[in-house]
Amino acid sequence: MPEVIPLAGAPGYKLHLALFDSVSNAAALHAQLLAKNPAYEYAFIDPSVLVSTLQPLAAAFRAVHDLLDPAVGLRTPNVHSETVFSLSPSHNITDSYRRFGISPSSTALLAIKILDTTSPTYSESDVLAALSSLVDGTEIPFTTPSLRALTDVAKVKKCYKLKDMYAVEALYARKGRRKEEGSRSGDMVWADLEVAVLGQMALRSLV
Amino acid sequence: MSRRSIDGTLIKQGAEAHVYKSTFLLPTVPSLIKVRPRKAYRHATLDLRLTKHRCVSEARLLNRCRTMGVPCPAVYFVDERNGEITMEWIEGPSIRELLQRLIDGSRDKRSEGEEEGEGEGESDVLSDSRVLDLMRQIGETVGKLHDIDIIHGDLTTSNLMLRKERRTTLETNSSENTETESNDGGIELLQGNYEVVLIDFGLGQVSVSDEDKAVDLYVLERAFISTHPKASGLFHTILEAYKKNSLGSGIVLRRLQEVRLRGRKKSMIG
Repeated sequence: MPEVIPLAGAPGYKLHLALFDSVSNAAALHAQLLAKNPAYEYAFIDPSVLVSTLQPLAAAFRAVHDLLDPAVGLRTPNVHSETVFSLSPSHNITDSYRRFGISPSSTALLAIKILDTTSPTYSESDVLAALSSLVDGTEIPFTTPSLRALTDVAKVKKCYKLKDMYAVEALYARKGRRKEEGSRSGDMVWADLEVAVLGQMALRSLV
Repeated sequence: MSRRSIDGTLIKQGAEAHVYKSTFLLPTVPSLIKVRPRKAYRHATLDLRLTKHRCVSEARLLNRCRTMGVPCPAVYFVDERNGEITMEWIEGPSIRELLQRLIDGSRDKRSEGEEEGEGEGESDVLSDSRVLDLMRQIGETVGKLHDIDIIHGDLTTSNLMLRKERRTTLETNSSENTETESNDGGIELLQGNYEVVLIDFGLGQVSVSDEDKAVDLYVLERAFISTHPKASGLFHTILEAYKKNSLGSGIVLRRLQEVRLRGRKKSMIG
């Protein structure tokens, strides 16, 4: 079942999202996006660059935040494309679609629809039905573990320019010092990656 | 322009910023929002620029530290026009609170059993091996910070926090909230794993200069002496750990001697 998540800090706005695996119609969806078909106005995200559920939520939050702030405004055509753009640590819009959006060969995707639920035409069941019927694939639960099963860590590090992760340890190791910290658990490495990614997203606007 | 209100509870208010406890995106993710409020007495354009600049530089430093592996709050969201940084919530006491608790605790204990000598309880608790371990960890952490060429700018015991265990998820379970009761404890907090977390990079900067690093240490030393006269001896242990761990420590500590003689301000020669 797709999930509905109210967006904290933006009353009325809700995210409707569903995560799919074994997707067979990514090429068709991609073509509709390029054709700017309004029926396909969704944020389609490639889950291989996602490390936790908070990451797409933070991107959506940034997009809605900028939409609602008259002094900022959107830099892309709509709040959905802005969500994909907000995942990126760079200002290059085309590049952000390419890295964080879906490609014709994608086999998994996260679809997000952001709507103002105070609008009179809003119907939650319609939105969710449309979301489920849009993608030919198997819906899997939108949870951090299921996202991490799809993550390409090397790609994440590249996309988010995380060469500097654990630079202190690398520095000490270069100087021939043994690691005294012991080993980090896998969960800790994920947590560090998650906050590093959120930090890179948060700092994007600050150039 | 009107500012949107902050959802959260005000927990601290200083000259520069207001600090709120809130949640980020999900009710289960605790966060802290640091807001630099508008100063009505400044020209609006200048105010916006200053606020923005300080907010951005603090967020950058936090992000740099955290990514490189120095414990500090992670940055979740920055709204630089409104001077707001949303960051990770660090659960635990500041080192200042902790030391105060230890000193108070030992004083109480001493007044109960009167046969002990004057002042002995306090020095006892401060020379406890667990307290010395904490000091070593502070020294190591500051050493790491300086090794990635970040100057904190305001190293005081209030800006060092003690966090029990490293978190592996940003979310809290509601059941964990019961752990706050253990926060009344003092020395028990130093049992087992913990980490020293640096907070408040509002006066921080990136610098390779040993002068700046020495001044950072000097500020910490003064903070120890002025806030805990009884604890000033502990600073020695911090310096030892700093010396042992930090790569550039030799030169910085030599510089610290000079700084001690003349004070924090740089001489204006050259």
